[in-house]
Amino acid sequence: MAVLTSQSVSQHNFEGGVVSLLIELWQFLKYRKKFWMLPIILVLLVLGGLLILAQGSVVAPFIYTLF
Amino acid sequence: MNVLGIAAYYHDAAAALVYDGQIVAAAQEERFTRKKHDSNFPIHAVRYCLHEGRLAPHELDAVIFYEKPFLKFERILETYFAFAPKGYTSFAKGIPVWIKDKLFQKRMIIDNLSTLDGTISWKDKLLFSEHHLSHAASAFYPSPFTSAAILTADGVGEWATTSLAVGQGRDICIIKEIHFPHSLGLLYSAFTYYTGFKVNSGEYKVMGLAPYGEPKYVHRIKDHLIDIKNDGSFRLNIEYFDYATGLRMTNERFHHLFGGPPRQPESPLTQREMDLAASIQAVTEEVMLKLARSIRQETGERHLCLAGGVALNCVTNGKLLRTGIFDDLWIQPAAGDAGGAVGAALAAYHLWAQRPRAVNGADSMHGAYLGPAYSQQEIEERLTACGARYETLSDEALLDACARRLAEGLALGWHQGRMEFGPRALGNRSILGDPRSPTMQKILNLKVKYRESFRPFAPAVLREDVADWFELDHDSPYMLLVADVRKDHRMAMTDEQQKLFGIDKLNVPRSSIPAVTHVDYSARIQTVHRETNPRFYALLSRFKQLTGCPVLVNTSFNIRGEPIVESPEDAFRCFMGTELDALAIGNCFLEKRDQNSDLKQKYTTAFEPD
Repeated sequence: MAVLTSQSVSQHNFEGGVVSLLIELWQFLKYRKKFWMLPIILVLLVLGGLLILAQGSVVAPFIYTLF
Repeated sequence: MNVLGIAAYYHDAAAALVYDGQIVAAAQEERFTRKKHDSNFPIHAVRYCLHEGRLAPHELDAVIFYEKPFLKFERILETYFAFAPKGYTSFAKGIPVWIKDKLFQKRMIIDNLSTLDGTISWKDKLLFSEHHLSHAASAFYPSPFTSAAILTADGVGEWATTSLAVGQGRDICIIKEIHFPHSLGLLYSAFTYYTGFKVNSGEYKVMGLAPYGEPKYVHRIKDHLIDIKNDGSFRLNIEYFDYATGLRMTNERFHHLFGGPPRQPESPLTQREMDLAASIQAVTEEVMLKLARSIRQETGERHLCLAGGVALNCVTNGKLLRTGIFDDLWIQPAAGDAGGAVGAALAAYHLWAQRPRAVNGADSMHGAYLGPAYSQQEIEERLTACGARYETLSDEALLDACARRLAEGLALGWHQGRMEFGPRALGNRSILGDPRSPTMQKILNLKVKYRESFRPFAPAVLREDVADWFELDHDSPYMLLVADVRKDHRMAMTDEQQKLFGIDKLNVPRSSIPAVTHVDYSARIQTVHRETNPRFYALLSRFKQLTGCPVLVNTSFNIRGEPIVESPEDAFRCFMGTELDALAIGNCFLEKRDQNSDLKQKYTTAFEPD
C-alpha cells in the first residue's frame, strides 16, 4: 500500500528553457530509474529542435526519413 | 490558504479555487469560449475563479496542474518502444507535438499565468499532481465520509487507468493500480468508436443505447477482448485494438470479430449497435461490481467514492448502490478530467500542505453550483443589449408563470444562479419540460436539442418524493444514479408494442411520466434539495401543486454540440435559435411570441455535432 505524502504532489524545478528542460528530464529519469530512455529523448529533442527551426515546412520530410 | 487547480491540454480544460479546504469556485473553459470540450489553458475559468474568490493573483499560495506531463511522455515513449516498428504513423504524428509543445507544458502554464500578473514568480507556486490522484482526491475529499474506499477508472492518465485507494481523514493510500494499455475506459471508448459515436463524448450515448439491445456479445467480448479476474482486475487483448499504436480505437481483427466495419457516424442505427452497446455495458458493470467487492473485502471500508470518466456511467452506479456492497456511495459530479482541477487543488491542500480535512456530514460540492452567477441588474442590462423583450416578475409570480407554462406542455429555458460544474445541468442552466406529456421527449429531442431521437431525458424530482415515483430512496443530486420508475407508475405494453423496434418503442408511453422513462423503465434521476437549490426546489413544488407531479424533465440548456449556456446572452441566443417557448433568467421572463422575429438565429448548424 503506497501512502501518498506531500511528495505525491511535486514541484518541478526547471524554468522552461531547453537547458532547464534537460536538467529536469535527467532528474526525472534518475528518479524513475529509466536511464535507457535518455538517448531516445536526446535524439527526439534534436529532431524536435530541427522541427521548430523548420516550422514544420522544408525540413519536415527530411526529419521523417531519419526515423 | 488559496490553491488554484488547473486541468488542461487534453480535453475539458477547467479551473477550480480552494480556500482553506473549501471549494469556492470551479468552471470549465468551454462554457466561456463556447468551444465544446475546449482543451486550451483555461484562462477564462481562472479569471472567473479569482473574481469569485475576490483574489488578486498574488494572493494564490499554490497553483497545481492535474497531471504529470513527464510521466505521460514516459508512457507514450515506452508504448511506442514496446510495439515498434508498429505504430510508426502515430509516432511520427504524435512525437513532434510533444517535442514542440507538450514537453514544455510547465512553460506554457507559467506563460499563461503571467498574463494575469507578470511580476509573480509562478514557477515557485506551481505544483503537479498525478492524474489518478487528482481523480481520487476529487472523489474523496468533497465526499461526506471521514473514511472510504476510492475507485477511479477512466481512459488513461499517465500510466494508471484504474486505481483502488483508501481515504482516511486527510490521507489517501493507493492500494492497487491497473496500467495502460489495459483500460476499462478505453474498452468502452473502443465500442463508442465502433458503434459510430465520438470517443470522449459519445460514451453516454452508448449507455443510453444499451437498453434497446440484448447483451448478445458478452461472451465474445469476454472470450476475446478482456480477461476479468475474480477481484475485478483485468487485462485486455491488445491484438484487437489500435489505440496503443494507431490513430483509431479498433483494428481489422476487432471488426472481423463483430462481423463488419464500424458504423459510419450519423448513419442509421441498427439492432447490432444496440446489442453491442448492451453487451459492453454489461461487461463494464461486471468489472466495476467485482472491483467494488474486492476493495470492500480488502479494506473493510463501508463507503465508496467514485471518480474518473467511467464513474459517469450512472447505470453502473445505480447497480453498485442496489447491490449493497457498500453502505453508501458518493460520486464526484465532475467525474471526468475537468474534475481533476478540483481534485488537484484539494490534494495540494491536504497532501502537500498537510492541512486537516473537516467533514460535516454533507458533501462539500455545494450541489455543483460552483460557476458564475449574474445579478438581476446585470441580467436586465445584458438582455436589453441583446434586444430581448422581457418582463421582470417577483419571485412568486415568476415561479407561477414558469410552472403554468410547463403544465401546459411548453418547453422552458431556466437560467438561474450559479452555473453547474461538470457535464450535467442540475437546474441552473437547464431546459425543463412536463414529463407527463407523451410528446415531450420527441419535441425536446427534435425541435429544441436537435439531437438523436433515441436518447432519453432525465427527471428532476423533489427529494422527499423520489421513493414515490422511482425505485430509489437515496440522494442523487448529481444525476449520477439510474433506477427504475416505480411499478405503480408504469403502463404495461401490449404484445404488439413489445415487438416495436428502437425509437418506435420509446414513443410508446410506458409510464405516467413517459418523457423520462427509458424503454427498460429506467430513469437517470436527479433529486432536488431545498438546501442546495431552493429556487429549483420551489419551481418543482409549484409544478407539483398545479399537477400533482413532483417531477420535471431536466436537460442541459444547449443544443447538440454546444457547450451548456453560461451567460444570459448565451441563453437568449439558444432561446432564439431553437423552438423553446419561454425563458426565465433570474427574475426576467421571456416568451417566444413576444420576441422580435428578426432576432431569430440559424442555430442548428452553428455547432459541430458531438
